[in-house]
Amino acid sequence: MNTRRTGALVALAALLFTSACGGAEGAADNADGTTKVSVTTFGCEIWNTWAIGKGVYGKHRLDVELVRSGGGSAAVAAVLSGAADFGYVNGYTAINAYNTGFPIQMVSGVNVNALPPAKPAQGVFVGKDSPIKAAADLAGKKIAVNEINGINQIVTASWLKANGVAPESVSFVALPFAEQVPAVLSGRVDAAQLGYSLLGNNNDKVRSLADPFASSDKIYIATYVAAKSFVGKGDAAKRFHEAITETAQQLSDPANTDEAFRLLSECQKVPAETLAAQPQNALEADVDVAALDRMAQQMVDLKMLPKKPDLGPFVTDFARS
Amino acid sequence: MSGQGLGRPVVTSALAVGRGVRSLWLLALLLVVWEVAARMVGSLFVPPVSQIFGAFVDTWLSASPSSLFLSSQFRADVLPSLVRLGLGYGAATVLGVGLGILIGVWRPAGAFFNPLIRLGMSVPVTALLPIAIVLFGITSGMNVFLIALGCLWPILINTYDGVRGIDRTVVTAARSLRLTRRRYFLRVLLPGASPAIFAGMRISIGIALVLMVISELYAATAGLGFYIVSQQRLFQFPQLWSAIVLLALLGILFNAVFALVERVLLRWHRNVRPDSAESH
Repeated sequence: MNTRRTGALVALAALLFTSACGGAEGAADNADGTTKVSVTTFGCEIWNTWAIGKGVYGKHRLDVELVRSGGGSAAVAAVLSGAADFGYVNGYTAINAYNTGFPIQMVSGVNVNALPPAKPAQGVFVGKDSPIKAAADLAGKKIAVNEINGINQIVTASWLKANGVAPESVSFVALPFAEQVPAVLSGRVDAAQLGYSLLGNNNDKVRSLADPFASSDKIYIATYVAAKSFVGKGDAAKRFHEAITETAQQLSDPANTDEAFRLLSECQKVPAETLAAQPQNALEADVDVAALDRMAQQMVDLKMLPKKPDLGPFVTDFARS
Repeated sequence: MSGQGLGRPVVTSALAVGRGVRSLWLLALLLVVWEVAARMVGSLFVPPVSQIFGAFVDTWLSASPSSLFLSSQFRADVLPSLVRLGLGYGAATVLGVGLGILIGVWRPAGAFFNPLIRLGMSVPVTALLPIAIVLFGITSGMNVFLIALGCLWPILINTYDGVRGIDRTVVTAARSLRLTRRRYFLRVLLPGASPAIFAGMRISIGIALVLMVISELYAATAGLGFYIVSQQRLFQFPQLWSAIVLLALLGILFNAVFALVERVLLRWHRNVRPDSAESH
């Protein structure tokens, strides 16, 4: 009996150590001089399909392996455990993780919100015949977002606050993007915050009250973070940022637009014309620390952070704008 | 003589403490190992036990007697969960015991419902979550439905088995005594099936807790599951662990209360009495 208990104790202790330990390992160099790095992904990102398809990563001596992650917090866990070298997270999640004390650094920006005069890429959608006409009508209502305390909730809450609605008066409900519009149409939620590109065939059944992302300053919708130890070990993180920078420049060239959507279409299995017709977020590889600071302040205003952290050491020198 | 009389309770208490120490030393040692390991490794995902307990006190308790020493967070997230659990479990008990007795007593009903019961048991209740949202909307009704459905089958099957398993000699004796239906139900059937009914209800408590959390991880606006997801997104891992500790304590509490009720109501049943079990 005692032997069994001791065995159980040893097994539990080992499990605890295994789960608590881990850590970022250095990137492995291949025989051809490239560095093998793993990058988390949510699916098909236009910069990844382009950089892989056009050999931009290879040009910067990176052999990129994409690793699927379920969300920002999973991506942070992946880079800290060494399961991935670069984690794809939104700016708020990155700030939150850094503020909590996780040893990570931002190595690149990639996606920022589309600000006017660009076409709105996001919306707070209600049913076409809904009596909700403005932000003020959302007080006391249910709004669907893809994850609780995620970027969509933060931006929507800030937009509500800017329009005189206390975010606490609204119930945010986590629903997968695919279920949000049906939930709005069936009345299970009053509104949903998502991108136009996710409306599917429901474009004419809903209308947007506003693009909460466009009502704000610059927001880093997508960034890459890496473990601090990984950044300090070599120049793979710097080369990754350079690759993203070059990719963003090439994608911004109108001459490459058709080809970019063709590559994305192969990944997403959606016609290139459909993808091209959807409003896109802007691409920005360099990180504007002042913009990150404003995002941190938004989180403080929404009581998600007790105080604004010093983001200076968080952003690597090579990634700063 | 009087000295012996005083000494006996002391010895009994000492033995009880000894038993408690024997059964808890592994847990205590594990917590110490956890504390030391977490401090050595410094992982923010698995914080030291002391930090988790600190977060537990800060998050779930308060110094105010008027709120029964429970925090506003407890009232906001734990009470809704407990209400859903109570309603779902209660509905499952009423339906499960009622239907279980019906199909146990009335053989044609048993044969008729058997395929339906087998089908219901085979479907993982969590797979019905999207359907439950469509049927009940984003309301507590969805959580209650899932909890009730998940708890129904073990209670129903155990009740059925309990009714079918009543000693035939007892049934024959009851018939020869020409008991009225009411007396037969209250004096023979219900007591005879109750050990099995309680076994099903006890299994269902654990299922109810699991389903309560799972159904709140998704499409909820309050609850313990909602709180856990929310803290995970905010990287507040001590708070997240504190919710897990609270769930464990709730599970222990429910089981303890259930064991007590079972001991009182089934005291006639020798197998549920630990002293009689030991004496065998």
